[in-house]
Amino acid sequence: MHGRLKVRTTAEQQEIKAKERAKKLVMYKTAMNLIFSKRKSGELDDEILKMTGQVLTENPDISTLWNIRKETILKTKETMPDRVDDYVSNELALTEQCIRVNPKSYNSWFHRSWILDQVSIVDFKNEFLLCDKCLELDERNFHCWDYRRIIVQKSKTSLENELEFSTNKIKKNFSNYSSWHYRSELLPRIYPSSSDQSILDDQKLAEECNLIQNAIFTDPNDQSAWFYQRWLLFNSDEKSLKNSSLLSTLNNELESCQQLHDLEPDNKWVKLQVCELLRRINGLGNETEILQLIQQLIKVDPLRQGYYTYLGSKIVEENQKKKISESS
Amino acid sequence: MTDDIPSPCDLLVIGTGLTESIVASAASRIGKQVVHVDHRDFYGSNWATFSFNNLHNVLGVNKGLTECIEETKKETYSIHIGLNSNTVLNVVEKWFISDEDVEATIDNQLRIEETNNGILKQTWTKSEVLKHSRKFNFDLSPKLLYSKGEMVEVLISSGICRYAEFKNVSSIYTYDNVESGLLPVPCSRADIFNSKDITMIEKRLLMKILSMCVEYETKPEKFQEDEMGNFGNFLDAHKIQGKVRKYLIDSVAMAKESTNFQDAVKNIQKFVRSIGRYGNTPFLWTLYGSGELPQCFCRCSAVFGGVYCLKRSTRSIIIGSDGQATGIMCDNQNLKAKFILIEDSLNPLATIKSGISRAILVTNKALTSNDQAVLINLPSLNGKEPVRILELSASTMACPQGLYVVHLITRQVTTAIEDLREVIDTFFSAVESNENEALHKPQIIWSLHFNINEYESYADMLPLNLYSSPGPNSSMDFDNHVIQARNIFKSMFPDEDFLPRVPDPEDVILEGSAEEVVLQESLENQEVHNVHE
Repeated sequence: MHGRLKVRTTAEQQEIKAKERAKKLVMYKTAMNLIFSKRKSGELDDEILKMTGQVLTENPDISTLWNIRKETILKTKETMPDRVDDYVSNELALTEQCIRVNPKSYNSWFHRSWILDQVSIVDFKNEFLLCDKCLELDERNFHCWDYRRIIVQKSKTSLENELEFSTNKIKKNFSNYSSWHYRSELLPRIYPSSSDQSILDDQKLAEECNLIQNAIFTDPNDQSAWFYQRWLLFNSDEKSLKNSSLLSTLNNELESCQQLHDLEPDNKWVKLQVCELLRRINGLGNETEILQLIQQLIKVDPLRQGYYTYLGSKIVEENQKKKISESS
Repeated sequence: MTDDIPSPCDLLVIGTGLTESIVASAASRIGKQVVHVDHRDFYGSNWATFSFNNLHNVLGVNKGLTECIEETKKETYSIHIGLNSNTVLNVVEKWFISDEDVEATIDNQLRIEETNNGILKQTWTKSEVLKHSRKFNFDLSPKLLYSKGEMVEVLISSGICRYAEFKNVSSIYTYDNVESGLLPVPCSRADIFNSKDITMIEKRLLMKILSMCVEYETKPEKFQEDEMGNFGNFLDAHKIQGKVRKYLIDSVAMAKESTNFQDAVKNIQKFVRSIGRYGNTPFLWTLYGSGELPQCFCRCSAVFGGVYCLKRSTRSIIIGSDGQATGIMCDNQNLKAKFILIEDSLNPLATIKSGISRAILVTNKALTSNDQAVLINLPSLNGKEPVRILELSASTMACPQGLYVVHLITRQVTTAIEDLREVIDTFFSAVESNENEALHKPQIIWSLHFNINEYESYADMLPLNLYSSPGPNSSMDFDNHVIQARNIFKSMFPDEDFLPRVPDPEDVILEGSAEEVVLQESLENQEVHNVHE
């Protein structure tokens, strides 16, 4: 019929695709053969860089090709030291392109950090921009988080700056283990505790407790917040707690967790945290309450029955030991 | 005039409003011959967007309705179409700045003053505003798109989204009577986590209600008692008070205390599911105005062979002896069609159901920190209807840099001026008052008030092959109109797909090109062989 739209059928589309793939395969094989023969004869020159670059932008995960590039760069460094900067900026552009193709390519990220070691002056602003961009696209890309730590070290960026970065990431989405973990690495270095009991100085600890409570109340099913809270609170034993400021912090946290427990009686995370808090504050005195909670946990989360039973028996055992040491 | 409008055609559409345009594009898309006419000289009918000058031209004309049914012959009779129906009425335009500026004649550039506080302030004059006429886009019926609503889905599935651009609404506010100020509504999980306005317990309750409502269909047993009452009862049962209650009623459910539970839950679901698709709020705004959307659908229809005639007066619909519509009289030409679709406001059998009170303001300052589009849902105050405010900045292409276009929308009770007076007085200042107040309230530079009628038509009064489609209503989004357009299409063409995906250009086979492609490929294959050898 005149004027009607004719569209390729799926079979036709597939046929076209299959042809394209076959063509690509031939090209790939030809290029790889050429690269290997050149390397064998020691021709580590611009041409080999060009060819490996073309293949890598299609598939960034061929370690061998990245290594050939490293050899080439090292050779250039010896033979033409004045041209190294050009080669390095080439590598930066290539890795960036490869990261676009596959943001989780181990090889591309690793090659990039290796390249930074080959020059004396690095434009770190550019590197941070790349990280920001990648973490915006995927805030949990651990390759990028790793790379960020590398450039922070190399550029001697202040820890405070990084803490702020982590805060911003958490504000955007607090289900982010990478960012919580980053905080747990940074905070004790920036705000060390004056006592042995807590991990941070008192004021910062209170701030972090507030932040994490907001996360927990907003979404009590999100594990990352609970895990961070555990790290914040549980790092000293009961004995050293006596009369410390951490004890009052723990009591405050217990109070708010119990509030949440009233609102969310079936939530296993809050039950478990109440258990752990009671155990830290006064395991022996709270034994009945703890064991009751453990029975409830088994009911709401039967898949982890074994874990909860073990936890209960461990707390009972702890209490037995306490009784013996107190009586002797 | 002897232009060849195809007659008979499969579908004849009168009026280029949104619903009509969607049906036209869907019919063209499946290969039906569509003729789409409008007596106006612009697309979009009561959905259109205008520049300053066009607005003046359009609203200047307001003529009365023409008479209804009249028997012409013994066997056939015709329904006269109510052209120039005054759907838009009570139009009042006001300027709040001087006509001429003495200094402006010296320097044609914008006068920029530096105030005591060192803040740059632009002073506008009428002539300068009018000089930028084309940079203004005023919507008759501004509406938002739910990011996961019917409109977005149909734009994506049909590929029509290519014809338009959108921006995410940057924030949503409600009004806090206690502190008498605007209160930001936390939309996403991140917003709730970061909010400083509500306590941790309130955060939990808010999240709980939201996730409960999203699971409404999957866990009906949780709601057995709630289903009976209204939305207010439901919130009472869950002890929701204070700000959280305001957020939920005014902005998330966009309901009242008395709204029935199911309707409120449906709105909440749509709201929550739309968050995060394109940004932190659930809504999209169409750049250059909502009037772009009918045009996008018309364009799609034209691409697939639809014939378009603007400024074409349609005088009457001709009804055959069997009671079916056979066609229309259009500039003395009898256009025959299998199906006819007419917009409600032109359909003489449609009646006025209710009205919308509207105001458009141009102001010199944003109500809140706004660099895109902001939605403000004002709850009903002193027994008045709730008012919706949409503030658009220059980045939405609604006005020149430094100015803001504010749309106010509410149900009509008396006239637009009366219905909106209180709200406008609360938030805006009509004169450039003393320094202090000027820093708080945006000043109105120009205002336009008008009412739009909402029509209602009854299908059983019409011939079976004559459809009537609704014009803009007071709802905030387009979804009902998309559903209605789909229903009309499905009733005309029951077994056909509604706006299936438009194929990618590379998959379209142009006439005669198929052989060339094969030839080219065989040549390329030879080359590959050569390389291989």
